[in-house]
Amino acid sequence: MAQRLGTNEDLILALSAFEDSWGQDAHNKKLHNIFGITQAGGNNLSFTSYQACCDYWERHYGNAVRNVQNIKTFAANLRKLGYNSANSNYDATLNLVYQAVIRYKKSCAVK
Amino acid sequence: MIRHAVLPVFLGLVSVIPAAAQTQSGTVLVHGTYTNAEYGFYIRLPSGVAGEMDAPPAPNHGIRIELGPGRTVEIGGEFDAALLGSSRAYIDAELYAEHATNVRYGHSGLGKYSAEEARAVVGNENETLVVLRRDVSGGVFYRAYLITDFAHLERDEKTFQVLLSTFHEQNLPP
Repeated sequence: MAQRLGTNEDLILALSAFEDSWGQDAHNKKLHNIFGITQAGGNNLSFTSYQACCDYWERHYGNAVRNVQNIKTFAANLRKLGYNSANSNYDATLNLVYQAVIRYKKSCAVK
Repeated sequence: MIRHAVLPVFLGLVSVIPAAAQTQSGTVLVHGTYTNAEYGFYIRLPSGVAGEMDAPPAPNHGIRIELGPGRTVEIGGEFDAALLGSSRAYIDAELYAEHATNVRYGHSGLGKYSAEEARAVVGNENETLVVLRRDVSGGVFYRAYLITDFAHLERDEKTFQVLLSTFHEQNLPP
């Protein structure tokens, strides 16, 4: 997905880590919902697969992050589409998660 | 701890779906009880007070309550995805990012729970941040934020405390 959108994969990873607790959240795991995508009423949507979740997210938010390479613009563009308005510090929060992703990848020697 | 037994009365609240009135900015207006099933909490809004939550399909992290121009309360939940590990670390990270000054730490209540608190000045604003961390799903932070100016500090602080007192945890979804 990151390749298709021409964006940095670590940004997508940071968003996913933020929304499903690095895959640790049992509920989102059950729903295959790694982006915290909601339905009317605020509860998280269920997908048949992780790929289906990614496809859905890309359809709704892909254009907002197309060719974006830094976390600041990434967060700002999502915010314009109504992401996390209940956290006025969302940009900084997501940046912290992004830094954690970078650290984790380095510690695992992942390229 | 968060997966404690739920009071029967709460079962009725879980099904409360926020009023679907959409604002011009695309958020959803909420009156009465705001329930967040994903992060396991609910708050009760006083009569005449409306909150705003993000419209689907955006993730539902919490609610924002406008007290006046430049004056807001935010109450929400999020995972500890930055691996901060404690309420104090969360507070410090937030205030550092905002270049806060005059930081004063203390303790506060979030509903019946004891939470960490910090009061600070950011630019011309007074900010009060109350954070509670729970060890579920890798860690969940509940955060309540009052942003106000000096002129309205006392009045808005009272509203903030009322809102904090209505905070309740609920079972996270299975």
